[in-house]
Amino acid sequence: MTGAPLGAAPEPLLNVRDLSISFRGRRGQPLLQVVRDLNFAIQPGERVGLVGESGCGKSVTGLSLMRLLPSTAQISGQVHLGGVDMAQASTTQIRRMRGKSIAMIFQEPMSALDPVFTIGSQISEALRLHERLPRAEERERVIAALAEVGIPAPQKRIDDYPHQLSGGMRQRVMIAIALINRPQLIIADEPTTALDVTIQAQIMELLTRLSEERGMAMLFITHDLGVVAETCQRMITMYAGQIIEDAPVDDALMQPRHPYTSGLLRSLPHFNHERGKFAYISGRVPAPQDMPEGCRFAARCAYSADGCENPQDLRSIDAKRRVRCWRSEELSLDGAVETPAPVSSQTSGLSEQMP
Amino acid sequence: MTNSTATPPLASGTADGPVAEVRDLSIRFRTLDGTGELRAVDDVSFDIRRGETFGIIGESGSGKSTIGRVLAGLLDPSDGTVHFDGHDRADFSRREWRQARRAYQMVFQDPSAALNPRMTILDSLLEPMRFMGGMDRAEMRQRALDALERVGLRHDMALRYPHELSGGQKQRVNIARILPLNPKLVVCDEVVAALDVSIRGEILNLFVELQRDFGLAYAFIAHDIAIVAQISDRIAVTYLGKFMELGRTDDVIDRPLHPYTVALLSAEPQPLPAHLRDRTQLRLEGDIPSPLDPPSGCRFHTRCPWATEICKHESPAWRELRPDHFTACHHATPDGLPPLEIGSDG
Repeated sequence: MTGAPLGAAPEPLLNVRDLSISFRGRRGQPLLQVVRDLNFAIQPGERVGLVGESGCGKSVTGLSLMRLLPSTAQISGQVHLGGVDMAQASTTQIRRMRGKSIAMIFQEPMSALDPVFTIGSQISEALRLHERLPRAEERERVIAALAEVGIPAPQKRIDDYPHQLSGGMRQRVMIAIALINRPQLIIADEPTTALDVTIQAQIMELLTRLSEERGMAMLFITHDLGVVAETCQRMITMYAGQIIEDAPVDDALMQPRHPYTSGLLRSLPHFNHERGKFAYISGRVPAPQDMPEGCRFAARCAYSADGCENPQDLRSIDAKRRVRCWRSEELSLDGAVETPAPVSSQTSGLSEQMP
Repeated sequence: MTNSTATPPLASGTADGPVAEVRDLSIRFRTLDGTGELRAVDDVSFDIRRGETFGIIGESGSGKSTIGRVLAGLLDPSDGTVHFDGHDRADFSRREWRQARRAYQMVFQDPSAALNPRMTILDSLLEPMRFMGGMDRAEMRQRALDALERVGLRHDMALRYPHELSGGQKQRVNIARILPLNPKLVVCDEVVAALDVSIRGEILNLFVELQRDFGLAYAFIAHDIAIVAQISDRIAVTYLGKFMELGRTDDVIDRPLHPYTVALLSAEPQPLPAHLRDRTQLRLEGDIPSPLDPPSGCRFHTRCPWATEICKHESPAWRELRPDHFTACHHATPDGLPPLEIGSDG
């Protein structure tokens, strides 16, 4: 049926099998399925981008990995992390794993931090859940954690309240909280979306560096393909609750194999594109209550044909790629670059100077 | 400030003169506790030419949205002047402005927030015309339906409510609302930021089409430099209430004069495979300073790799270094920026 998760050969750190998520509506309303039969794995130290547009199920997937969904959610399938099935584990077991094995960074650092506690006490709180240390030593650890995420003068900043920090600094604090117990996997849900672009670049660099130094795996949930291109090794694309493509990031960007991935890439604005002409995908995502049986993208797809009305499997097309489109092999789809002309590197005196 | 040297004289009054002329504009806000003052915009001068798309990019606190509100006549200058079609905003009487302002309109970021959830689409379309007056019911209705059609929506949308429409459709309605007013200048403040990537292009194409058909000028405000670059004729780069650079799009993107523009261009994440990405990236350190207490001299000097002593003390003059290409930087030359000294981590 479903193609085996990529890179399943060595023991994966995270292994998601047949994960489906539905929400109970108000009384009398039918169940709404928002994620269907998700299968993927993440290797230790691997950075994976989970991309898609609003409503595709990417954030719900991230929350389900942390077991943070509300009680109206019904989850089926398995989420294996370090030998434990997170989908079935007891609350005690989950608590032991949160922070220690898997941790999460959210989009909005201001609402994720508690305004009435200092940032130091919020980091200590996360630390204390897993490790009891003498007070002075604990403070040292917190200061070291702040320094590691690039907060200047951490000895002073440790006693600041969230409102005293800029958005970028708050996100660094969130990262420090997520990292304090040295988890093996970080789920980052749009971690840079609320930040200005020059600050976003700093946070992306920080996350990539920390992941590399510690061999820590990351799942980047984002709508921003640029962020994925610059931080991740693999890109999983979701559409309407399903994975539709899974590929090494550079392959997905150069030669997408699903018409939706291609359409998304072509829709991105670019400095070099012709002025005043924008590409787009026409139509809308089907609502969860009237999902078609066949390909969920067919109604918007320029390549739809007889056969697309059949349910589509996520097939392995080579050792590293899976795609949910039966026509994939016969299509030649555009990627992020039409003509592989490099982006202008003549921006000012920079390019000549830096090797 | 020595900017006045480069401030062009007003060209207003003529039929092909600029649609808006902004001279030495400053906007100040009092802080809530009354003790401080925020200079959201500080001594900015520019024209918006008839029928052009004037892009304004910048990060939080750059003053770009404040400038937009001035251009839509929603905010009066604290200092400086704004001329609309040659007439000083300050000289309009209330009644005159009520009539004149129809020509200067705005489309906002959040398409849902801009529509009253308890009004049908038709009522939302009629409201601006009612406010302007001078049309009977049948004529207003006809114009509303024409506008709906013009933005690609069927007539039967008219009797629906906003919650029945998608985000893209709602933004079309917001565009349709201003068409019957025959605007000359439309301020577009982050008009696609709330929309999904795959449908943005459709809305942006609509803006381009309407501009062509109705000769609209746009002030196109966005934080996404790639979108601004792809739609604008000229681009202004703002930072902490000041213009850093202003020029034709190709000049600003391909041959930027200001270090901040260089930094913005290289900070934009590129959805390209590693081997095609520009590896010579300039990464800015530190945060954007608070607009309540902006740095002395050049406001960018605290983060600028080119900064020297003079940048800390002297605000750089606004200079036209190349034809129609302005910047405020002590170190910029007509050939761009001098090579950066290596030695930093790069």
